[in-house]
Amino acid sequence: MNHRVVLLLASFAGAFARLADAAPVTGLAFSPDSAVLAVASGQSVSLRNAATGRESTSVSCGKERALALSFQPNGPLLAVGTGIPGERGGVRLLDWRRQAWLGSLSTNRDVVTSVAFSPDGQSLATTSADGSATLHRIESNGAKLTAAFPLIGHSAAVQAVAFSPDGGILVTASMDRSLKVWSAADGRLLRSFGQHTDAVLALAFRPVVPDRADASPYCASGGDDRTVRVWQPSIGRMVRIVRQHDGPVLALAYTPDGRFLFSSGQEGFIRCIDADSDEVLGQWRASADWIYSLSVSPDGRTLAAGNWAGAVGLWELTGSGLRMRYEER
Amino acid sequence: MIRRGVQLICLLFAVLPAGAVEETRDRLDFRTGILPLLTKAGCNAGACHGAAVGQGGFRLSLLGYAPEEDYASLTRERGGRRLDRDTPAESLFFRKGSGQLDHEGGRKIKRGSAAEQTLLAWIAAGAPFGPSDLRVTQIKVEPEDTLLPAPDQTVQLRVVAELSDGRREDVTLLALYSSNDDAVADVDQAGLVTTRDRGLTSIMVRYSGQASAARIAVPFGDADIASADFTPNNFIDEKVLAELRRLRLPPSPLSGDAEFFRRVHLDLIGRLPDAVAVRAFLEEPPSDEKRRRVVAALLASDAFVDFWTLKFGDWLLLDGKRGSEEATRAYHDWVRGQLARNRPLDEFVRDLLLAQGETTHVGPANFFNLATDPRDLGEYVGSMFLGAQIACARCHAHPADRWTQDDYHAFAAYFARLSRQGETLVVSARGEVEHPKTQKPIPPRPLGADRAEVGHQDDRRAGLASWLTASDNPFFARNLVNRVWKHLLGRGLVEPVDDVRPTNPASNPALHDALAREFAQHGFDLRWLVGTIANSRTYQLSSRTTEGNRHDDQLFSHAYLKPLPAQVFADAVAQVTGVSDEFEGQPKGTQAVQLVGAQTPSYALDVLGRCSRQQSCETPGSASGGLAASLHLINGSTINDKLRDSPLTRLLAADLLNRERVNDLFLRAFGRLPSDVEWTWWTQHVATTPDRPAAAEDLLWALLNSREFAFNH
Repeated sequence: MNHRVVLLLASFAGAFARLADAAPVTGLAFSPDSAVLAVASGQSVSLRNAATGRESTSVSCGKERALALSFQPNGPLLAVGTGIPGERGGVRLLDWRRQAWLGSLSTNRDVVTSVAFSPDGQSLATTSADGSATLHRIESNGAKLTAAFPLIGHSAAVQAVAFSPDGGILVTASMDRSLKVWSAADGRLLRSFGQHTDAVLALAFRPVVPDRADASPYCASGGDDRTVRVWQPSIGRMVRIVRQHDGPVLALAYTPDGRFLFSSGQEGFIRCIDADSDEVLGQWRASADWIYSLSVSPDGRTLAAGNWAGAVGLWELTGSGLRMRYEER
Repeated sequence: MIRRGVQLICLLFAVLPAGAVEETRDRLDFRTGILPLLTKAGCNAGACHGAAVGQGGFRLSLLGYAPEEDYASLTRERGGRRLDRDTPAESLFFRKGSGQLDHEGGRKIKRGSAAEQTLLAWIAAGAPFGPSDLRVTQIKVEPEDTLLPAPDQTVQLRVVAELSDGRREDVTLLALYSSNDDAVADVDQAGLVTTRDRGLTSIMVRYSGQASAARIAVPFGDADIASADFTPNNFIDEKVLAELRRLRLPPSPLSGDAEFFRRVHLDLIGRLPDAVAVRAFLEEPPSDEKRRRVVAALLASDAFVDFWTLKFGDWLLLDGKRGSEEATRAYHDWVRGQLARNRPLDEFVRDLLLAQGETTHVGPANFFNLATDPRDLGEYVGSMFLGAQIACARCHAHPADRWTQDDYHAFAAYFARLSRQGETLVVSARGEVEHPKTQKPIPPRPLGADRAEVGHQDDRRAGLASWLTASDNPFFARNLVNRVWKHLLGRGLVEPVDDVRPTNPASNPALHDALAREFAQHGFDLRWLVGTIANSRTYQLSSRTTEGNRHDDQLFSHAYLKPLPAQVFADAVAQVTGVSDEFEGQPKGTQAVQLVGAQTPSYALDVLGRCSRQQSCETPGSASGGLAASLHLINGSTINDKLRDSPLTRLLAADLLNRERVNDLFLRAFGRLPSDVEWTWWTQHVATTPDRPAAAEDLLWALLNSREFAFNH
């Protein structure tokens, strides 16, 4: 089958005034209303119009790098993972509409690599290059952040974290080649997956699909072993391996309807994978450099990708009910 | 690639523009400008980030053999956390290396150093990789060969790198140095060599994937070699004498006739000369001519074929375990037949490399029983026929040679289409070796060649055989002469013989070159080679050292002691005692050197160190070495049972002071008559030993357990 895949909506390349000095884009996240795209790059978070790519404001993190982002699903907060490599790391909460910093915690010995709000927006999970992962509680509307449970078990840098759609479990991925599944209620380690043969760098939970609503949730992981693996972490099952990657997989993102999974990585390709069959439907060279981050807007219309050179690309996902059109040729 | 028909409208990811940094990129390219700094600082050493799993989550290739991967690790991996292009001095990589942050490897970048400035400038310039095809093609070390007058003298090496764009750069301060023998000379990391003692060694120099060496020598003494009694017999002696003169190393005198006669028999046919032959040789007046006659006779003997079949069997790991008994016999018989016909060794090896068919009938096809994996076969061929250890390059570039993973897997690709159907070796139409990184088939290519020698389409091995056995192949003849030289002289010109590389130079490079050249010009004739060496004065020097050469162990100023191989030792005991060994399944009278394969059961041969042929036996078992062997020779059956059964013991016991019978025993064991001291000792021993048979056994036991018997000298 041949498919018509995507249309480029916009590129931020022309919008960066100091492009040559741009730092790698390591974090991307769309606001719940899909109107704003947050970009973590260098020591700041840039908030941009998701349709045009134009920057509306930039929030500085001081001397610390901004590395990871997560919007609160039902609230005003944007969590930002920050740090100075090899020195310290933490998480900060930003009231992104007012551009005001609220609560923060800086307890890590290395940068925070990934942040994820729980679906109810009351918990925040963080992972760090120091090998730790933590489940936090959001208190006082974000004015305070409390470490509720340390997620103890990884033996190397933890690179990614994601909550299941029902918020019952969360999964972490580490350089120690493992995935670990934790209870979101009490931070208990439920199980560990060791099938990856190299560092695991990316994670994404598949949104609930109506015709599979009763199924145990699925998540995808990718890493240095050049594979994407699909799991049902609640029941300890590895569902499938997608091998058609020629380099490490650095980022994963599902479409909101759960039908498609995008992957990207070292090769600069973005691949679109059918989430049911795990068939690679299409791929395109999206960047001349490594793509660190991917995000699909909650309305399913836009795909964003950020690379080492500090550039972000946006693609409109067109189509009928899928919000992406695949035309067989 | 995106599938056909898929339309991608536009992709506008930005890349860093060259801009103002362009002019500095030539100087700041990663492969030839930055990576050598990391290597020099030890960042990619095996004990640090160059370990297979890296260190602290940061992995570099060992000594920088994979620049593209190292560049990705440093600049891109883990979100680009290691570099800060806006504030280079705040880069994690820089702060760790300069000791500002905890770093297990300590401070590697000195504050204010040129290296520090270069690294910061490179990061500020956007950390460019630079021209992708720019690389170091060769390094040259000057001076190549230095003779310093005494210990505690210094010489500064200079290393020049030749780049692919034609430039030459002085990289003395960036190269890595190590001494092959720091008791003779050591070297600091600026290339300053200091001699520590008299002798000869070499300094290994490595830079950007290239390796070379410089020879350093301090004369062994002050002797004037010009007046020494060393008249060259042939070109070998001229080359040896030149080096002995240079290093003021006095040669030992010519060996006596007895010493030579025993030596040349053991070396050429693996047997002791019988007493009658010894007497006849000793009675004839000394002359070069009579020695040449002996060499010629031994080369023409069946015993030469038997013994060198054993030697070749050890070399080729001809082993009954890997094939059926019938196939092993076919292989052994083929080797023996080739040696009996004096088949040129280039043709011999060509037949091995191109063999196919039923292994039970086509002897050389058994060569490929060594392994089924083409990579393993490549390693065997590299080691046996080229003297090159390429196994390192299976996983990473050889740290002391130029072989890369590309070289290794391309060489292995010659054997990718071999398969077995039962006991038949067949060449298939398909089969590839995949490069471990690209996972793509790699075309076959000779070691060190720029392009493939594909050869006949039906069998890609044809290209390999043509290249490998060519008279101008840089490795083939050198490898063969080195192996034969080691057998005859006790030490290879390059040692170990299967580790020939630029950083392990020959102890006498001119001799190695000349020997290889002459061997090729003489049609790779084994008998010519053995005869030429055996007829040289160098071979015939006494093993007795002089005051001036007793420390020499690599320039052949005297003959070196060689332990008898297990089979030769066993046969020698049988010869002296007159009691033959019996081997299971073999006709009576079969000698140990005539056994097929290495699997014939024999406790004695095993404990004496018989080469099992499971792996290279370049460090041979020694009858005089190892506790088990020593205890066995003292108390075990190999000697003691034969003493009890020996007719010579009974004969001697009947007349213990019969001088002729004692002489005969000495001639059998040592190829010489007993000295007056030995005879006196014996008469005293007889006088104090009432048990006559025991006294006779004592004498024989003492002879067979002596160092003089256990060694060829």
